[in-house]
Amino acid sequence: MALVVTGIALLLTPLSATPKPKAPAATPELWEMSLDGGRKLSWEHSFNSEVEVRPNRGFWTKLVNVIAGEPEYHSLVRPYSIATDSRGRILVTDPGAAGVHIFDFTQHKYKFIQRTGKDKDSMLTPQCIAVDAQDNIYVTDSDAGVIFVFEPSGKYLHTLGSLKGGEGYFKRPTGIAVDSAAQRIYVSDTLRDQVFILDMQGKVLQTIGKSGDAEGEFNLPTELRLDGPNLMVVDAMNFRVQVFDRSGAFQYAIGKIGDSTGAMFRPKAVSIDSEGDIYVVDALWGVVQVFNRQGQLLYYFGSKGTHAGEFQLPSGLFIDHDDRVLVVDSFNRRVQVFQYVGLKTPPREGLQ
Amino acid sequence: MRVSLRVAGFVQAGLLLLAGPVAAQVKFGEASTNANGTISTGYTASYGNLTGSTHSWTVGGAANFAGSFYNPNFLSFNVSPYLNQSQANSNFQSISDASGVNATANIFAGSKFPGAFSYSKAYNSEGNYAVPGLSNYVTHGNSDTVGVNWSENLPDAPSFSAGFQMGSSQYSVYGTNDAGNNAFHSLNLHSGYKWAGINMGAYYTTGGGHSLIPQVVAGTQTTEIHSDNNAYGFNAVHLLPMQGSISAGINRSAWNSDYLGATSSGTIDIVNTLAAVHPTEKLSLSAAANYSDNLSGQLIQSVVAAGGVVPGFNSNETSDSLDLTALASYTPLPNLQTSAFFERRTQSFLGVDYGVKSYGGGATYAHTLLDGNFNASLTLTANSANNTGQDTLGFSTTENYSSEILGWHVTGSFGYAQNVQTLLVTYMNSFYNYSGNVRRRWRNFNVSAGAGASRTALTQQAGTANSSQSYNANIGYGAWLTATGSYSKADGQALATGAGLVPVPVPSPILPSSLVSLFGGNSYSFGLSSTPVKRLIIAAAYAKSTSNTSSDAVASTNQNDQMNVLVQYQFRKLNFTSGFARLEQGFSGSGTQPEVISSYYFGVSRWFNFF
Repeated sequence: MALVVTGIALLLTPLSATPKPKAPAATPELWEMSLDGGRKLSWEHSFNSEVEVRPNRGFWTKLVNVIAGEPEYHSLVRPYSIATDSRGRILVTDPGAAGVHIFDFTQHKYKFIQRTGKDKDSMLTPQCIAVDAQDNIYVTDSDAGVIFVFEPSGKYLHTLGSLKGGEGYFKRPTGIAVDSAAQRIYVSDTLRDQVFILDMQGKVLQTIGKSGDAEGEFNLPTELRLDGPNLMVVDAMNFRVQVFDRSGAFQYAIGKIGDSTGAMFRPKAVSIDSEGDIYVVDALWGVVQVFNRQGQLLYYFGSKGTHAGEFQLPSGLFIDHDDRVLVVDSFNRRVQVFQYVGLKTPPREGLQ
Repeated sequence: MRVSLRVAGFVQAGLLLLAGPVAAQVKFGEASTNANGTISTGYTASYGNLTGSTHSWTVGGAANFAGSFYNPNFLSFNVSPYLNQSQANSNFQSISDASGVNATANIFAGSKFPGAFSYSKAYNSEGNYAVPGLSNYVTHGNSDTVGVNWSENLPDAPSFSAGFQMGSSQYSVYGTNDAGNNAFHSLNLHSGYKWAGINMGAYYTTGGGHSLIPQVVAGTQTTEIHSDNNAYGFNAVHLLPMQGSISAGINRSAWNSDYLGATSSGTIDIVNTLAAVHPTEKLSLSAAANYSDNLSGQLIQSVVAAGGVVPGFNSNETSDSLDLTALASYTPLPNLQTSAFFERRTQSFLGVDYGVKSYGGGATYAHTLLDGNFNASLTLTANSANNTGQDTLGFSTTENYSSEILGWHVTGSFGYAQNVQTLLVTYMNSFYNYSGNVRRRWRNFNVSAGAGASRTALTQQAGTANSSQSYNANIGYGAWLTATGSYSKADGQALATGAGLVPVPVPSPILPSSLVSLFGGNSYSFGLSSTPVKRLIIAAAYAKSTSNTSSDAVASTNQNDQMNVLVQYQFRKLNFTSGFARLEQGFSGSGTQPEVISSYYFGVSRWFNFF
């Protein structure tokens, strides 16, 4: 079935003829894409600061704000990766602020996790993030070479991969995924071109892959995502997403290098919607491309820019259980939230 | 008792409460600007032994306007006015309410004709009167400076730059009935051009100054100094084979000074040339010649440049100097450099001819030592004076070391020199200095300590030494507590200028004893600060300095005691400040008793981003 995309002046162009994905023409602050079968994707909102979580302020709060000034709200500085937990809270790593922002729009609460100035196990460059079934928070630190584990409240629990002398076991840990049922943690070490499988105490049980471009080999793997029985790995400089089963056996890959629509140039993150379609965000082009399991492009959205639905160096992507598509728009210092409304049907065919 | 309550204060305080957070760049036609600043108010109660007690409620503020006209590269500006800024309502830590403005502007930045302008004016601001190696004495007064610079950098055309600066200050010294002032102006012009492979440059400078030196350290009568100077010169550089170059310059300078009616004036012509080549990567050779037709004038000029004068010095008497130097340096190893030199100096001074031949060599070596870095240098010089027939051996050495030993970061340096040539071949210097610092951190606990000392004196000239010692220590526990302490001690000879006592820039026997002040003293300080909770600062500091100064006309025992206690809390954009300050300063030579000023204060300031 051919994909029919009818958005606001949105027309997909032939794949091979387009040097770069063209941005869907969109009303700057409110747009919606109508997809085939009645599916649609709409831009909901964006946020970049603690202040947007806070409830409406009362008279006294406003008075104090006038007299003493607004508090110094935390803002996104250089956000990178994103995840949500079972409570609907949105967790964003921010290497620029050396911390993790937790936005709770339901409870109107905000928390900033930071761990600096410690003699041991200071959090230097929080990179990617994942949560387990208890909503404990796992953060890779690409500079410290370790994984920090925090309680849902943000209280520090322990560090995985910390060696004697303060050095980290990993050379550059980036992507992380937690399989609570199997009690396994998956970590990509970008400089080692490997994915490590750890137990919950941080003991290395197995590694996946080696340097190379063959199936099951990596060239700077960056981000991980669990998808049912599978593990997805963003194999950045092989310009693809590789899919393994949870024992590390290669299953399939999507993506290819190129400068046309459907190809990947700087894939940064991957996520899966409720219909099993695979979303890959590309930092250099500023787009999110949506593929089916066969690697066929279904559609894409975004372009370079600063308006709603436009990105500058997007780096993180996460789709929650409600099919909210959260995109970390890093250089614009914000997170953009899209709502996908699907049909909960089996995967679709892609554009030919 | 005087109560000063300013209606304007309430107006501004009202503005403080009503002003909402507004922030945006504002455009006025082609001009765009943004502004931020603080509005503050505070209460101060002060009392002293020489002044009546007062209490006042003042309103002040500080702002910063930054912006541009048409384009930042066309005209950009920054203006920072401030009003009634003191320890009660700002971070000025001043016992006087200072007002003023600082302004800068740049025009045609990045173009071939960039220009800059700066202006500052301060009223009732706190200042310092310096004593070498010791705590400064506290003054208060007014000052202003203005500066203009402009240059032209057209390709294939001579470059040109011009600068003009002028300024003045008037101050009074706490603890005396005495006042001082300074005024200066200077104009400098430079031009450069490259023609036929020759880089040429020419300059002209002119300037002057006027100082009124407080009598407490200079003499029984107010000491007034006028001086004017100008200079112009030309230099040229041309490349030579073997990565070499040859340069030559000719300079003429003139001065005119007036010290209580005793005038001094003269001109100096200096010619110099230098040639250097690098025959191999490891070897370099150079030769230099320097001639001055007025050695006496050079001595006087260096004193004038330091802020003093040499009245009645007979500069008309013929004096000159010629200095010829040859130097070879060789680098046998990457961490070892050696050199050898020969120097011939001839001087005619005060009707007597002097000459000295010097030859010697040196080496500089660097190596790792005990996991640290060590470097050392040694230079040996043999001097043979043909007038006195006296042969001397001079040497100088420096050593530096830095390392981490058992968790301690350690740095140390040592220097020693004997029989080092001065401007006059008849005088030689000897000196030593050393310093050491250690620091260590255990989790939140950190400690550091340092010590240093130096002594310099003319060789075999008793009573010409300047020496100093200093020690400091710092202990801290996170943000909870920081304790500091220091002790310093100094003595020697100094020149009284409008800015304070400065080290004598020439061999002190050259100067009339009436111009040389002897000084000696010590000072120590302690400080405690703590941040028990975020944004709360509690700090206390005490410093005491005692010195003796002596000139031909007056001897004075001077003391300075300062104590400050500060509590500051920041709530969002509000800063609450309160504290106590005490200053006791006295000079026995002034004939008045030491002045004591104490004040209690509290205040609040609010930061705004106006637009």
